[in-house]
Amino acid sequence: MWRRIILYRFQIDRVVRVPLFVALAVSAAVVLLVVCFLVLESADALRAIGPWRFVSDASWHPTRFADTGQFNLMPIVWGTLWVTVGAVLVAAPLAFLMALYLYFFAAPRRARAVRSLLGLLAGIPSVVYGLWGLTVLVPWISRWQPPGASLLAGILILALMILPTIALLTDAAFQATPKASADAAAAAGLSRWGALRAVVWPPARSGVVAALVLGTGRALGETMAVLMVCGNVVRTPSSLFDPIRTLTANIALEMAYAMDLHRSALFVTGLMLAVAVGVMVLLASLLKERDPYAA
Amino acid sequence: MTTPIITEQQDLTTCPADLAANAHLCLEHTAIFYGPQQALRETSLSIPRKRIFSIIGPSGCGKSSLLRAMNRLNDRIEACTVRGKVLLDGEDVYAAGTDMIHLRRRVGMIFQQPNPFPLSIEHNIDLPLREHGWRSRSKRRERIERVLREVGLWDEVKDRLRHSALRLSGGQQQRLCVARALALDPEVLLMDEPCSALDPLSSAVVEDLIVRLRDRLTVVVVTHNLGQARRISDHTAFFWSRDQMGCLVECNETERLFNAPARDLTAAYVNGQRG
Repeated sequence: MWRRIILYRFQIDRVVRVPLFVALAVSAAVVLLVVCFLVLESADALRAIGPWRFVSDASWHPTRFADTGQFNLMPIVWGTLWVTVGAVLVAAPLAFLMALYLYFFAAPRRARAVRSLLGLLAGIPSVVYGLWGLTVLVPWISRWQPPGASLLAGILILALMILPTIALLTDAAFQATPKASADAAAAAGLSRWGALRAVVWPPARSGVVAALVLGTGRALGETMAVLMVCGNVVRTPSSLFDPIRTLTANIALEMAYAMDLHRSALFVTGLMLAVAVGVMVLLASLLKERDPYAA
Repeated sequence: MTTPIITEQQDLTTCPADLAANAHLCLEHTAIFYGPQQALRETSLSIPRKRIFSIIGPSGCGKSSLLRAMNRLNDRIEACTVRGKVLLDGEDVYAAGTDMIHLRRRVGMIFQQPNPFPLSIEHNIDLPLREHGWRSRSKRRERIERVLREVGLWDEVKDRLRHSALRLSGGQQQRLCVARALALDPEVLLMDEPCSALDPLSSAVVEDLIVRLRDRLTVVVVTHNLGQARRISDHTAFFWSRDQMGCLVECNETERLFNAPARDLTAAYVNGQRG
């Protein structure tokens, strides 16, 4: 009888492998297919216009033909970069403080309430954030520094949007601290700061990096809210109050009427976005890699 | 077989008067609850200064809960409440306004599973020292070397102080934890089955280490290993569990408790007939 049970278990292990592998293969294939699609669709523009003109042309005035249009994407790249970096710089410290509060200070019941609030905040559709930004935030900034629709508005809206994501994931990383370590820190009479350094941070570090990556990814990819509050002028921003256009907004705004090379150039925009995400993931893996005290 | 029955509440606290005179830690009518469930019946106990005091008894008799009441580690469990008093040098550690960081410097603790911080060997001791106000780096280094020597770890790790403490063996990790506790000059060291997760050789090393602490500080050790309690401790308290509630059965000098127990239940337990 034991033999049969053992055999049966062995078979289960083998049977389970198949759907797991299929799930993995499907998600890997989707990523590859998306990249292939982007490359194929942007190939026309890259061949006819050449990659160089996307960073060196006088401006972004795309047309159906290579010789009559201007295809400089750099102002848009800078706009995207600044709004993303700004949003992460605003949101990450706040999120970190919130996670610290939840781990060290909040009573369990209150922590639960704050967590479900954050979950709710993360679930609000981006168009609602955009609506609020457009009707409240932009006029408010405009009274201070017109025109209002600006890099700053984008940063604030995006920060608000990625804050719950980063905070919840950082909190989850903190909560994963082994209970034995937490007891050790308490028994050694460590302050909260000491406990953070000794037992909470070392195992949580990679989780916090993952939280930052997901938050940054969300900021990079956000379209609707930034489109609504950033002004969408194609110009390299020189101050927080300049309007900007992001890569995502560029696609969303122009795809409806783009044809031929213009359409293909928008796929180049998408390709750049994909490259940006790739670079970010690479940086994150570098950050994660060296854990000097791993067992 | 007759079941020994404990009847009177008074009988449960058979703590000899000579212990109370030199008491370092004193439990006065201490009872422990997890939510509405009482885990430990009202217990009074005196733990003498600079001796080794062992607590024995079957699983679930409240030994660990009692130990964790002595440095208020129970506070970390939301539903846990402690009634009565736990006096450290005559002062109730449960009094309002107790400085927890100070309390835990005075009362160190070693756990069943070695739990070094996920840091380097050196930082495991350095960080608590810094936390407790040791500003001078050279003094901290001196202290680190001294306590590592005390636990017999110095020669094994002096060339890799910056390596992760998690790469040490179980026995070495446990000795590092003892060193970490000793670094803060505690008066009392609580040990919750410090050897039961270790192999026999490491266990013997840690046991010898505990014996060397006698006359220096008060050690309270919870153990399942009756032989160990008998070998190392000066006094022993025997707890039993009735109706899922722990209670003190007998407390005496270790030799007397093992050789001439006052109660049948104690005799049955130490002879391996019960528990």
